[in-house]
Amino acid sequence: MIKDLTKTSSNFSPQQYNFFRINYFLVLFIASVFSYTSCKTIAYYDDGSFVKTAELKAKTLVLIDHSNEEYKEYRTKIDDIMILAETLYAMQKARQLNYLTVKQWDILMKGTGVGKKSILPEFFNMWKRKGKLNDFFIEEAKEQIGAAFDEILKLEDQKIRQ
Amino acid sequence: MALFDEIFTEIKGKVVDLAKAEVKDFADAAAKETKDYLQTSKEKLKKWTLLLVDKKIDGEEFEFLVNSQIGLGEMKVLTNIGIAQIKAEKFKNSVIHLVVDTVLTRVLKV
Repeated sequence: MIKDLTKTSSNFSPQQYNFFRINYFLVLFIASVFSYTSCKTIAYYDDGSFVKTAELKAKTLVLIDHSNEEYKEYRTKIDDIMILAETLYAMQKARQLNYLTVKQWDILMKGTGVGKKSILPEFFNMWKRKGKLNDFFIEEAKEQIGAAFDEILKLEDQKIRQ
Repeated sequence: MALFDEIFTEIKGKVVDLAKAEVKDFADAAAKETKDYLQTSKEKLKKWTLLLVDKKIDGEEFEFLVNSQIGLGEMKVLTNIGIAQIKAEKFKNSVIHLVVDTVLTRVLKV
């Protein structure tokens, strides 16, 4: 059998043999390239998440400007903001390879680290407890909350477009 | 074998140049951002302490602001880890294109 194969292969001219060898090499090479590219480590960019997060940021910052007024007057609007925030948070958890963005949302919505206090719900809870907030605090808190949203948006914007 | 060695040398040179450009830009940006964050934190803490001393904000509000600044620092670290991963993926894709283009150009000439 081995003898026959050797005999068969020796029927090719050096040019034909070289042609088959190069093509074999190319097929192997392209196959390895495709298998390597399939190893992704982070989620792709999601336009829906980016736009909705930017919308949530804008609505939240506008609402914060009113936190020197009575909480009761804005309860429905705060509820709407929190529903949008919880929806987006759930959406992020459902995306594959999205754990870094989810961790950012954890900090915003649940809190981690030393204080273990959230950023967004805690602000609204404080507003609820105090009835209304003072202007010095509002100015500082608004900057902090805006910056937290900016980090989420920055990471999303950097992700690779599909 | 001579052809393979030539291709390999060409690819190696291009990949090294690509890596130098990509990694250096990212490392510089991340270092600058960390320095800015620490400087901003220092200034904010000073400002919030003065507001607390002047009774313009209370202890609970002060705690919220400090906690949010710590959270912001963690979020920045996560952003930088993410950008590093994204850069690594973009670099990997660039290397793949570079290798494919180089090999196909050289082999198809044979």
